[in-house]
Amino acid sequence: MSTDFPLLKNHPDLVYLDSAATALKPYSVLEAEQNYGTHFGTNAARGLYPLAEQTSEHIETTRTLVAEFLRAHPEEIIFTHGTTDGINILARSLEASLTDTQGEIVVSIDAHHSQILPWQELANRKDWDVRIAPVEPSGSIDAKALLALVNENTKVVALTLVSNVYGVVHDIASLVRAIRIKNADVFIVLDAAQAVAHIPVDVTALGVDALVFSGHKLYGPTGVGICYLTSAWQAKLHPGQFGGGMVVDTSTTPATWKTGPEKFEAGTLPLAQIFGLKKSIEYIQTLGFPHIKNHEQELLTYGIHALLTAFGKKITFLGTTDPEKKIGLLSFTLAGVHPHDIASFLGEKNICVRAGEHCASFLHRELHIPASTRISFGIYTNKSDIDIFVTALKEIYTTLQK
Amino acid sequence: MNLYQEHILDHYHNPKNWGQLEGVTHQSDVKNPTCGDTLHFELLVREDVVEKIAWTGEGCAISLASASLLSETVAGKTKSELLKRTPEEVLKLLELTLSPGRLKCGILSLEALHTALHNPKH
Repeated sequence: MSTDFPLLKNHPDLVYLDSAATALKPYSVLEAEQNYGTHFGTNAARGLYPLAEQTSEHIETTRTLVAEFLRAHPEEIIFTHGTTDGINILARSLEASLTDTQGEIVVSIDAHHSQILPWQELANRKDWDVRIAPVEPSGSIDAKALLALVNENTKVVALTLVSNVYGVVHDIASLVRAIRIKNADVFIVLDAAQAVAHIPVDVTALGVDALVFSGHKLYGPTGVGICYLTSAWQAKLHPGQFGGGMVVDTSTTPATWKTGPEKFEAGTLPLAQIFGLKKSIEYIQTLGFPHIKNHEQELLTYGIHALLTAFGKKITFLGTTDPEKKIGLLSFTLAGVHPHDIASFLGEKNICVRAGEHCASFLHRELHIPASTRISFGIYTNKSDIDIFVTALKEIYTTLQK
Repeated sequence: MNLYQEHILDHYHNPKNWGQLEGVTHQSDVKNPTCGDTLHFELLVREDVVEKIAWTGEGCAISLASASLLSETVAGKTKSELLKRTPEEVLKLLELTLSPGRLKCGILSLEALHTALHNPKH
């Protein structure tokens, strides 16, 4: 599989264990981005000449593919510039649409900053309150504690399908049902950035109002993302950003917006990246989620065993080590060795791991650790990558342990 | 570049001037928010000259080795001399070229020293 990825050909000694930060891109994705420039090159939805119409058609075909990928309808798929962009668009839209003077927003503590800070800022601007829901030591959502924070005054619940620190897949569908019993009108938004390359995501089964992800964690390009937003909420929400392509009548005040996803797609879309995103989804579909899951479970089992054999009680994994409950991602601390020393030392040996708070400072503060080290797998990761990593980790441990 | 060279490891494992001082006149607590490294510096300053220094801290090998190396160059210097110290001078003590991501680890010690010099104990 690694032969599909030119970066690994250009860096044959690279041990890439940072796919949760960004996944490498296969040839097909990179070629599609170039293909936009060399064979289409026009703006979508503006021109009436054939080449522009072809670009538009390609964008709409991709929208349909994304909809199939998420079990949604094409008109519910909004193109964005990434997960962060999608969440900010939603926060701005809700700000413009909800006029309640009192309100509360519930976020889970295992969220990435991109799923906390926009909501915290919205709450500040609205003078609403933010409630942070805990997770269990296993990394699973503490559903009871979260539900206790939801009441009739809750306006938004911001959840994460898979945390970028724990890698645990949450049971969102049951949680959403329980939330709706307590508050039928609440807006539920799900960050699926760490999930979409690893598990099938079905928005209908999940029951959320909005779901966001980025192309680049899905073996696709940076600078493009998806925001699924139900038609009911699209109709209810005022746009949060403004520009070309979203308006039908500017003679009214406010202007009259288009209906459907275009209402939220101000300005030129990241066209080359959307061409690439199409190929990345096709790449995932060709691999198939059963294969992806098997591959990751095998690597997780192998990696956990190798790390426990090497370090025993000196290594502490964050969250469960049950591969069945996780995507291919492991965060840990190693007694007496700072994560930044681990990442730097490994980096000198061409081994890419992540160290720090992983943009999850709320969670790290709760765990009373300044930082952790994370390894994460892609379809190109193999057991020899893990062997090289563990050998180097042993070396830095021997060098730095006190 | 190999960061974990012998002199760095030596200062990391056996930090110089580690501990507390009697009669502290100046002190500081600084933190590198991105990685959680913390340093506590204590100084004994008499007539504008730093007579003694001691420090403790938690963090990565680079930040701790940097604090140890810097602490060896402080006694006997005037406050104004030390306030003129630059990050480049501290990196020279480390004999390392640090990537942007690790730079703050390498120069946190200088922030601790300068903060302490500006922070007389009342």
